[in-house]
Amino acid sequence: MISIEDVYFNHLDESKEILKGLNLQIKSAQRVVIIGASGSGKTTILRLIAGFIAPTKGLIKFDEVIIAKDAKSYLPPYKRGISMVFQDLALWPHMNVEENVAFGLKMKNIPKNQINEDVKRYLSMVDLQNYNYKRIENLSGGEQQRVALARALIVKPKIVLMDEPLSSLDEDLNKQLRRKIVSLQKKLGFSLLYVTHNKEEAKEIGERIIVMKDGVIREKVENVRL
Amino acid sequence: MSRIILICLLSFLTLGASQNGSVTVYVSQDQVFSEPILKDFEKETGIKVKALYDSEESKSTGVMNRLLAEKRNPQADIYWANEPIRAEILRNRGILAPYKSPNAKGIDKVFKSSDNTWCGFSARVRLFIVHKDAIMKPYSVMDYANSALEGKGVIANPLFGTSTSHISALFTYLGEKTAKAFMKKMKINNIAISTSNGESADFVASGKYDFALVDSDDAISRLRSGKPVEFIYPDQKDRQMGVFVVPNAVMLIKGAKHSTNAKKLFDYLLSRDTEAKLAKADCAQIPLHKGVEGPKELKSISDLRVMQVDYAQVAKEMVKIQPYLKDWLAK
Amino acid sequence: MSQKLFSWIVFTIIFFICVSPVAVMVIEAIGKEDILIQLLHSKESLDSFFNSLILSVFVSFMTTLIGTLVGLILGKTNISLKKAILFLMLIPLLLPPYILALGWVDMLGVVGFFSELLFGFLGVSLVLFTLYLPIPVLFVLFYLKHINPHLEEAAYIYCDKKYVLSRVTIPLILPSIILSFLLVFILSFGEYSVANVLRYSVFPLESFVQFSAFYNFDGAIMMAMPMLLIALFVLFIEQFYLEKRIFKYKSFDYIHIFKLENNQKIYIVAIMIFCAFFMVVVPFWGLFSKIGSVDIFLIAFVKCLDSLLHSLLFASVSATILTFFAFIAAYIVYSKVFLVSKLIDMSLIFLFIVPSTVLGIALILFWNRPWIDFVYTSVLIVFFGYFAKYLFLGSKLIQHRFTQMPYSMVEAAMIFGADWKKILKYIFLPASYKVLGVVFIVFYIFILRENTITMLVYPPGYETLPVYIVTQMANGKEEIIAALCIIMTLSALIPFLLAMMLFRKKERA
Ligand SMILES: Nc1ncnc2c1ncn2[C@@H]1O[C@H](COP(=O)(O)OP(=O)(O)O)[C@@H](O)[C@H]1O
Ligand SMILES: [Mg+2]
Repeated sequence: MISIEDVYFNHLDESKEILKGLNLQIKSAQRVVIIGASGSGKTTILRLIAGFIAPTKGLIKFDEVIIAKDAKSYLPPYKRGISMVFQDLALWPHMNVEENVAFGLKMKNIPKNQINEDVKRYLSMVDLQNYNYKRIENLSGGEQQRVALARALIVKPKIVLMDEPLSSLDEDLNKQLRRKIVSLQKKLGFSLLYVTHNKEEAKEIGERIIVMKDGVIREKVENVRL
Repeated sequence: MSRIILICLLSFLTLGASQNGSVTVYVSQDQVFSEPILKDFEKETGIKVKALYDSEESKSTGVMNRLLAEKRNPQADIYWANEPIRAEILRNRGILAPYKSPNAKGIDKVFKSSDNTWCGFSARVRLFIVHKDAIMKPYSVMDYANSALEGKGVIANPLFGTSTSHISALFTYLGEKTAKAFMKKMKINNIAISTSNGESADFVASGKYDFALVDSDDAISRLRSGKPVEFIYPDQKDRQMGVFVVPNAVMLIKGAKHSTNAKKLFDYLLSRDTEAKLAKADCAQIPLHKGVEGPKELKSISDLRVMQVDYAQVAKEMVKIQPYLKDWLAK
Repeated sequence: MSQKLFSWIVFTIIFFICVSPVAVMVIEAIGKEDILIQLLHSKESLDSFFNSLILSVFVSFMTTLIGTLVGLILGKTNISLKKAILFLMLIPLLLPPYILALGWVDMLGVVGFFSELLFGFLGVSLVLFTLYLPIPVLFVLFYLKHINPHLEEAAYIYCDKKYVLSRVTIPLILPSIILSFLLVFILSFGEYSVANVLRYSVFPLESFVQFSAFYNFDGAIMMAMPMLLIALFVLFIEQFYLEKRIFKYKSFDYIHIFKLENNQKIYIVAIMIFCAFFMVVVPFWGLFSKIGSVDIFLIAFVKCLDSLLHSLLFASVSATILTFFAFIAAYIVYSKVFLVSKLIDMSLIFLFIVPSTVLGIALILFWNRPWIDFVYTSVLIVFFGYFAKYLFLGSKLIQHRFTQMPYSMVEAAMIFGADWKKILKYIFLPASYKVLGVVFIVFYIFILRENTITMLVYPPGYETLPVYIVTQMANGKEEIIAALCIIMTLSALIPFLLAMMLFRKKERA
């Protein structure tokens, strides 16, 4: 349902090409993991799909509709039906847990009681009942991670982009949370594009694993374990 | 790094270190006019003059305050005031030391304090600046209350500057009752209030008002720049009170650290030469010594009928009538 | 010497030189409240107090509002000519405030409709607005640079850019907006030289007149009390409200830019250039047109040479020493030594926000004593004034640099047994060279433009250029005064421009 066709990308005023003719398809409700060394262009792919940047050349299609082509973006991020979990989580420090999670719904003008209900449901889904009024800076790393997850999922996105979301957690917490992510994906049925540099993580999460190197895809692996 | 800091600190200290051959003078006369005189003194005597000038016409009289604030430990040797009322205030606060300058001899005793704590020189007089096209002209200060001149006159805010001194002088000369009656009539007569004598003079020069009581230097500068104005010396007839004269005043500070040099500067300021220079300068001050050539547009002091007041009395009156004047303004 | 002992010594110096004069003054005022009541009952004082209050609320509201907008436009959009616009707006802040007022007077004259508008609330507001606009702009720009762009992108997933701005960007820079509001409020409440030129009655001027025209010291001291109270109030807000809300600064390799359409860009740039032109260039045009000929300029230059040299000397020497102290103070505050770091931080903020007139009077009363004559009779007293007033600025800038350094650098040095002095010398100092340069320039410019404290305390014979101009305003020739203002402007702008060029060259290299 998402297809990236022959995409090139380089930053403004920089000659270095970060993506060099990338091709990638993600089917709906599929979990795809991108793995690759730091600087190989993984985050850039996510930002292209999210709509923060447009491909210098090539095109991106959502459900056969062209949404970005040759340095032009036809759909801003908030109209793409996507969600994203950032590497640094990007939780808003001036809002509490509830406000962070509810933000996406509020912006869609959803009735207040509906919002309250959803916030409650999604917070309990990530095991954060009664965290509504806590301030972000008072949460542990794992808790913040789960707030970011709830914030991303509450808007019922068709596709969720995750940029090394667990890289800052310790081994145990990491294992625990990647299982959580897989179970949530199975339950809610969104497509997941997951970036990591951790092979174990990739194996456990990905139905397909894509290996990036120097701006192109080197290998595609259908994950045998599943 | 620390060496640089040390050098910096030392250079600061030496900057202010006082030399023997110096004199410190605080000046309320405008720097434009006083600085050349002090520079001449420096040249002629070789004594270094360290001067501290007042910032603005009458309002922020920083120099007076420093004199008062420094009473415990005086820094100034000489104070050159642009009017004698300030001298009186300092005298009453015990900040001045008496000195009888040989050059004070030729100066009328009206312009000197009786205990030799200050001495007047080069003066301004308070006169009317009148627009050329004015139909009716004022000849006495009392004409501010003359109903024939209703709404035609303007006077600087009596809470500030020479305007205050003048009103206070009227109070001492006329007595409280007559003076208050005059002030009341003036108010009824729709007299405008400006923020300063300079502004009054501009108003008359531009024709907004017909006449204003200002200092002679304000009037002369308008005349010299070709504005359509003329002067009238008020109250010159027999038995009238005469013009109010505002001399500069020089005084010696008690506890002065360079008193020998200070006395030299004191004498210098009172000299005929200084008076001649101040007469020639743009401030056009009238000499108090007989025979010194004055500004050509102005009458000499001996040709004028001068208001006979005791400046000590005027200073006292000024403090006394402050609340009355504020009240008068507010109404 | 232990770091603790050293910190206490530094605090004692700051306290003794600058804080205690103000404290002594307050103590002397105790028991004389009746004078204050009497003064506040007088119509002039009360009127001027309200004038000042309304003026400074109005000015700080307008500057913060417009300044935030300008800051957002300069910091967050892709318009062109950003640097030029910012520079144009910065000029007034580099100069003594009254210069702009004089420029307007020269432009509009003393009679006529526009002149009547100029002499009063509107004129004073316009000049103060121009003067302080750069403060919110700089604050907002600074904070915007330290917003994590992901925070905005995370919101952009859910809403359009207007909401990103109102729900995320602006709330994140809110502390800077409040801070600049307070700062502008304090500065405009204490400023009187503009009101003096434009003949508008404001409280600091009125209390100065009380202090001068009636030679009433107790009165003057008591009049300073309301201003001190306002300063304390601001200090309180800073310490207990804002400090917790200022999110840790961090630099990011890019900032989120709101792209504008081409025609929008042209309109915005045109409006901004027009306003900056009107506010800054027009008054200077007034000054230039007054001067008329090169001869006048030369005459003025010769006349003010002494005071110009004093100014340059004071500014460069004081800025050098102050930079050193700011570095030390910043280090102590940064190291959070128990109690003393807090005390130093609070003292510096307090001194910065105490109105200059109050500080000046306090310094005279405290330091003019026979047995410590060398302070009051030398330029040292002027230096103390600058020290008190501006140390805060430098110390804050340097602290900011420190917080950006990874703390592991310090820890690594400690492992090798370096004590605090070595760490200061080998870790902090080399890492701060650039910011020390910036701080020196900031000190230099603020000292160069200072006239209030200087006028109150300068030793006879050592007047600075801003003071000389003020004394010349009494009956000096208008064209000479205009020329002096231009000389003042050049002597502030030239080093500023040179420094900017130097920094840019270094950055490129
Ligand atoms: N704003 C930018 N401007 C210029 N280059 C950038 C920018 N952002 C990232 N890059 C460069 O693009 C390359 C790929 O970055 P990224 O997609 O973040 O890699 P990854 O996520 O795989 O580590 C890197 O070499 C990085 O330095
Ligand atoms: Mg990355």
